[in-house]
Amino acid sequence: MIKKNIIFLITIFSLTNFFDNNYSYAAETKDFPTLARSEFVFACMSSNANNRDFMAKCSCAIDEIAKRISYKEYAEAEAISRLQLGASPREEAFKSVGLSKERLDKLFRAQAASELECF
Amino acid sequence: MSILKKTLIASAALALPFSVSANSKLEKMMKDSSQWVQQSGNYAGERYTELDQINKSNVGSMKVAWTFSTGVLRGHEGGPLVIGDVMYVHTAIPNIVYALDLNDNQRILWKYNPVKGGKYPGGETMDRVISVMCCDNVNRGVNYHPNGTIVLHAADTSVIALDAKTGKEKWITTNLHAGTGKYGVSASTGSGQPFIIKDMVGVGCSGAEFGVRCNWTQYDIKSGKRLWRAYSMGPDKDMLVDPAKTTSMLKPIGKDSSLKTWPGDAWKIGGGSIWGFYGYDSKLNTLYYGTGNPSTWNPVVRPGDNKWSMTINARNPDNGMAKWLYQMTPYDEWDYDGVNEMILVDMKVKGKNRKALVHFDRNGFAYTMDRASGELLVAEKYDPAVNWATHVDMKTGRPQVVDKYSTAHQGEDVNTTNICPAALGTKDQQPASYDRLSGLFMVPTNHVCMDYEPFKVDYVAGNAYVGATLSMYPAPGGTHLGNFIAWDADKGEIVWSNPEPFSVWSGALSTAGGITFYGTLEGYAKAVESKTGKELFSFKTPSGIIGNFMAYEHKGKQYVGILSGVGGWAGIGLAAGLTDPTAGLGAVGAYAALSNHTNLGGVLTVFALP
Repeated sequence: MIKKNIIFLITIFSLTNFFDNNYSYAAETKDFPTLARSEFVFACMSSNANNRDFMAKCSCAIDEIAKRISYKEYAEAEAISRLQLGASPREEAFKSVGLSKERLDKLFRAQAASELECF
Repeated sequence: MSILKKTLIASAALALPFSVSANSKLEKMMKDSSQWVQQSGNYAGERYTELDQINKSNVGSMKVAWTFSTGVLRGHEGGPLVIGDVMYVHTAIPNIVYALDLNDNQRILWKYNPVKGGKYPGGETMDRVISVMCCDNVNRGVNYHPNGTIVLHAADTSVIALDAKTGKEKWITTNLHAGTGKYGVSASTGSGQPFIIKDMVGVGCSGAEFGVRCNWTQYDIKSGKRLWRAYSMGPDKDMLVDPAKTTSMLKPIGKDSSLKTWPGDAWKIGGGSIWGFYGYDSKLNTLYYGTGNPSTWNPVVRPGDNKWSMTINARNPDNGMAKWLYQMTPYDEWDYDGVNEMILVDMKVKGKNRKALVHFDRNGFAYTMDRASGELLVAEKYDPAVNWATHVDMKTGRPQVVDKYSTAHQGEDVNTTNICPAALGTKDQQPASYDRLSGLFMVPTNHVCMDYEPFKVDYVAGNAYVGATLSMYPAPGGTHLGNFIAWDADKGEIVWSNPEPFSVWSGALSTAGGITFYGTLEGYAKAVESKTGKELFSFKTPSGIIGNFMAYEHKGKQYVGILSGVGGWAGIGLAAGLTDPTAGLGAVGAYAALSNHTNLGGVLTVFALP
């Protein structure tokens, strides 16, 4: 499953020209609150496996994400992804490309990198 | 007419003997800042608290005092009530109500779930009701009557009176039977608050997307007996209007004011839903609410003003008769529902003392009216991006529509582009607050535009009757989708404006501490200085915030509470992608697995000073 995932993510890399990007590290790399990191690890373990191995992998993943984007960017992308699950006019605005896609892509890239580093 | 007279007598007999005491008792409770007894705080809908323990100098150190998980996913609008030492919290569908003991670590005193065996009291299955909810599974909260009743307006339109002490049902009546297939009422749903006046409770209805003909219906609080019903459109007797006495723009509306503005009997499925936040003035004995969009969304099939959709209604709560009506968006072409909150403030307008009604409409105009006479005093854009109309003609009250942005003018199957605001409006139901200190209104807004393409659709009872394709995006030149603004309702001007990355979809709360609270879709609970908008506090709650802030005091300590909850659980989309690559950030597959591990859904976060 994980392997399949990495292959998928590599596809995203190439789609988003990840390797061509000299992406800049967020100015503040340690601004993720512990609560946000814990929540990610909790969700990540819940959807993978509740064991020590995944506690390490998931912790690594969120640390890698936090190195690449600011907490503000993370929170915004998280909000978009959550809203995209909904179906009301409120959510419609977040389904269109442009703004939402840009923000999500940034998170996708960070997430993809974190998976390569940690899994 | 005879029916009307009968109603008059019936309601007078039922309501009057007890009305004075019940009213004054509830109004007295509203003035006691330690409690939060109605969704809007008080009848005026100010959403203001005199509590000032948490203020602009110390709010920065505010901490989470406690949290409560509702156990229900999806959107949580509205907010909790506090009556004495008990807090009442409601949830999205299935519309559970919890009573929490504030004296005993929020222990659950009782829990009430209207859905039993998968069915709502009206007989509809929960799944069927969800399928006809237009806009997420929201509910805008319960309300309280001083005879010890908590009233819930459930999603299937059932009005449920609960014993505030025990949670036992006192009575249930289903307002509009969600799925009976009756022409015009086939897919009504309930999402708006039940509104308590005297010994009555009134409810609106949702479902303009499903070709319903909506109405306000008033019930007796003791028995659940129906007292009167006023339709948003149709014959005069259905609407409870008096052609000679009911006015609009200070003139009598005349006979058949609604029928004349619809082709054929299109009014029978005319929409006009009512689901926002309402106002009541006990001195004028007048109830204020707004009606929503005419259906369908395709304007080409319903030429005319489509009265009285998109209208501010001022009515006598005892018999339902309309005193005055004001239609903000005649012949709606954009879905600019007129349902938003009515804020009743006595203020100076253009140098004259007025009993004012201030309303921030979805259509992007903020209206200041004389709430006694219905005179239009101010109508100005509260987002400069608004472009569908140049201005409101103050003589006729009509918006001056720009052809380029008129979806009817452009016609069916033509995509009209760059209309501002989008269908979700410059503001949706998320209620503004009134800051008594500065005299300013604190308004959560959307800054979103859209392309709108109407198409022909045939009405099939119980099915969606939308007839338009939309796409939405940030207003031109910007990258943010919302603003939180301070509004001067006399001058009709923005005083300050804080850009927000997303639409601000939470209700505001202003306090005597000089601060205003609001929440964001990323989940930040924020406090700003009311006078300047300067951010003083920010805390990330577990999910996006679309609920309304409230405040109370318990054992000498001030608390501020807010419901969060949008879509699924916050962490889900991101972390779940690790196992389900095809679902990407949507991660619906992992959703079920995750819910086995956590009961996190809507969360009430309550703050206090350390």
